[in-house]
Amino acid sequence: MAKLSKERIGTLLKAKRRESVKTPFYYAPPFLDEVRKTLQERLTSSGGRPTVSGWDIVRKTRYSKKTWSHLSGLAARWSKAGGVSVSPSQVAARIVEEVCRSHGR
Amino acid sequence: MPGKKVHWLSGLGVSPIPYAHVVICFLANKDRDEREFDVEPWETEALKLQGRLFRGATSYPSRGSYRIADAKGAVVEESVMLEKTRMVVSFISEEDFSEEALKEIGAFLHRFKTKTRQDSVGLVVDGEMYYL
Repeated sequence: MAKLSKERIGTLLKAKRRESVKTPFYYAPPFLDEVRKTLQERLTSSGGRPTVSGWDIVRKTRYSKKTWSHLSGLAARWSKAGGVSVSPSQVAARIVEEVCRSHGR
Repeated sequence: MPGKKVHWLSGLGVSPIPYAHVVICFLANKDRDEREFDVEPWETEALKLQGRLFRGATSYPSRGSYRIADAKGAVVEESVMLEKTRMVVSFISEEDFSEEALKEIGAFLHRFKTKTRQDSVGLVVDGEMYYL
């Protein structure tokens, strides 16, 4: 079947009006909770800083102070709560990984 | 199994099922005059309907607020109504997302609107809120 346009859906529903919901709050899983849990499960250490198997490429990436501060806060909270040391870069890498996975699906 | 792709949630015991569309119906438990009514039969009907049309549905009890406006659309004093809304959610395959199914959902919600004296009824389809 051809893709239904928003206009067509509105007509079928006999809707008076419609508006976009920018944030998919209603069905999005708790994204950061999933990121935290899977990151902590995959982090392993053979003596040094815990890392994720398969993350072999190292690249320097620039962040804004605000973003880095947010990532640092997440990493600190997750390290404290999860018993595994998590770095801000690992939080960022896991978020990027998941977004790429979802986008490429 | 070598080479087999494993979803990142599989470690949590979750098997993801691909879906193409999301439909969510919002069923309030108050009429336009703020009188409460029993919304559960409507919730049950929505679950059955969406289950039949879309292979499944999940409902959630929630609280909602609704800004009251007069007939001309102006916000009036004491203008927010609090409700115990039920959300009925379906994740839908492309195959089940048909014009006929949407017509049935629309007809159900128009009946809900009329019978329970709603000013407006909302549902979300793929990130778009439609007001009936």
